Amino acid sequence: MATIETWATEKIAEYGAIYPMVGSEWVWLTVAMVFWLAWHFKTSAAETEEQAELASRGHNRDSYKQNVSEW
Amino acid sequence: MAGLFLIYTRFWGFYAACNVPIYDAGGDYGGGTTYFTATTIYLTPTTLSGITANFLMSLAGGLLMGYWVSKGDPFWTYSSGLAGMITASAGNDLYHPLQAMIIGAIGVFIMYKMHYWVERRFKIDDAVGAVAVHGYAGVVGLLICGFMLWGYPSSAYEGYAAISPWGMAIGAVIMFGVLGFLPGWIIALILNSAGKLRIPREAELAGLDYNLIEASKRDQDSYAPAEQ
Repeated sequence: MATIETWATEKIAEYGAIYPMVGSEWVWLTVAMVFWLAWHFKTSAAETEEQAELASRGHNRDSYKQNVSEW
Repeated sequence: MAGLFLIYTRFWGFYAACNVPIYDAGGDYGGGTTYFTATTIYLTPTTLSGITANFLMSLAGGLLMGYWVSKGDPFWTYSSGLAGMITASAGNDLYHPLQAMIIGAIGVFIMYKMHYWVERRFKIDDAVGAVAVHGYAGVVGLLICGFMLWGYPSSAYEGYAAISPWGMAIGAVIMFGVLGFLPGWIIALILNSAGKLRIPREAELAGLDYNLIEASKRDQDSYAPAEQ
């Protein structure tokens, strides 16, 4: 997988990209984009579900006071 | 939480401190010609901007995955940012930024699952997630690095072994087993024999912060009437 095999200075001048798997950038970009989009859809759905569940409990404007500790 | 954010910034400072800003590699690496470059702590060429980009991408990948798998738990989300960086750090001088992001996310997923598996299976409490963040994510990062950077020169000097999965695995055993677990286990044995490893069971049941809570209640009682 290594793109380079030596750091000898006469070779460094010839190097371009040095990261592993040069040429597979589209694969990494695709994986990253799928992950990024899936993250937004998944977390959005989870947050909507959580907020809907909270809303269904019939809270009123003073409900937060029940969460204040007695002491 | 504030501590985790401080560790983020400290971690980048660590990256920067490991960066030799300018170094003539010509005489040492072979070739003999003058070649100025920034290097890692091992004197292999890199750039501060490159490792900073990878630092941020692995942080982002870890945060995203942490928020996802922990279902938005703040502690795990922020810890996962750190774990993402730790997972990618073994190769962040050579990874592509997208590789750093994905590796960070993979490390966090494994770390989170490992944490709760160990807790359920062995009843071992990792109260602040430090073993998970540094240990599990660190080991995963070393193993991934062994495959991702297989064949890269481990040093700028000729004659050193190339990076390999087994080399990284041996390094993980030395770092986490010999230098980490073993001394910690011996010290824990000594503390246990002196009766200092655990608090007394009665104090544990009462709660070690019982006195603090009682004092806080007294404070509350003393100024609450004055507010009315």
